[in-house]
Amino acid sequence: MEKRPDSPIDKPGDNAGQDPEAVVHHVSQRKKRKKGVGGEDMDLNLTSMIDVIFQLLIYFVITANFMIDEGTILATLPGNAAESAEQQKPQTPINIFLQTGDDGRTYTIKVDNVLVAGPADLYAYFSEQIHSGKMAADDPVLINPMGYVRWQHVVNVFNACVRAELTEVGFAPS
Amino acid sequence: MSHVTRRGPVQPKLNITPLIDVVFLLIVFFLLVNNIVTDEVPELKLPDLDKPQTSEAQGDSRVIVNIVPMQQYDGDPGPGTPIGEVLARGGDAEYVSVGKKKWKISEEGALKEFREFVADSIASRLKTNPNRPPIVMLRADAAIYYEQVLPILNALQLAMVDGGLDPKIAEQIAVNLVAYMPKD
Repeated sequence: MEKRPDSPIDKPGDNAGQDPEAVVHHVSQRKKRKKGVGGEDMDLNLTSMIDVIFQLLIYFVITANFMIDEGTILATLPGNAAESAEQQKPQTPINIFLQTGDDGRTYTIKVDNVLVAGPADLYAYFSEQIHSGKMAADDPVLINPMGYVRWQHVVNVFNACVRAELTEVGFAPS
Repeated sequence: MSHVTRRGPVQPKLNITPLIDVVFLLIVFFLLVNNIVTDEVPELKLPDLDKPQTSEAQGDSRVIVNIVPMQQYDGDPGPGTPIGEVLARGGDAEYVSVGKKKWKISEEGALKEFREFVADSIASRLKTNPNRPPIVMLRADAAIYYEQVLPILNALQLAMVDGGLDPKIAEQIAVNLVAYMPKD
């Protein structure tokens, strides 16, 4: 088949008299990217940032403990235990007196007039009293600390009473 | 290993954008939670008990009352610290706090304001959920003198009655003493 002289495929007269290398054809950006012609791809180096972020993440994961090591013991507030217990049982409550030593760190426990060495002995004392039938688990008990007894000791004594399964333990009003 | 195509070798690339998104979200979460926890619950050295009878507090509606000493514990205030070190500090309390609110104990009228705040807090919680009264938790530092805790216990008791809790129900007028959990 003979080519038409004005065919768009081949126009012999178009570049006549021109240097073929000097002709600049328009190449679209899309084609440039496809062919790898023109600008290079820009890369952001994220490695150091990721390193820092992971360090931060590990720090927060390790330091966040959400207070899982804290628990509670239910205690009746001053006045309530004595009042409610006395309404049910008209009897004088057993008093636990706490006195602090001169150094402010040691303390003594007295159950009415009996001197007890520490919370472990207090637990043993009440357990023995309950098992021998000398007292009942629901007998009212009042913890009566001196002003300078530390909270550590007060709660420790309270804990020993709860451990001995006493149900009516309270704090003496001031 | 790079694949070879008609256009040449292909460089393998890892798309880490979703990874960075997730990691950033986690960091933001931990930052926020950390701030909330330290605001609501200041670091205290809690009572470390012999054979503790503590259990996890039940109920999601809580009023946490903190009694913070003048001399904070220097170092990690976790369980197992020798008791001598704990009690070497002074036993005076500096302030009592509920959430972000603080009342200096030495200031006149502080306990009255504290009592009113707790009463309002209990009342508003009871209004939204009358069947589930909030539980009151007392976090006091182990070194604090009992004489400093007692007025706060009394104020709490009055606040609970003012807030609308039935004083006849002993369980509802009780307070949860916070101490360390058993080690096992």
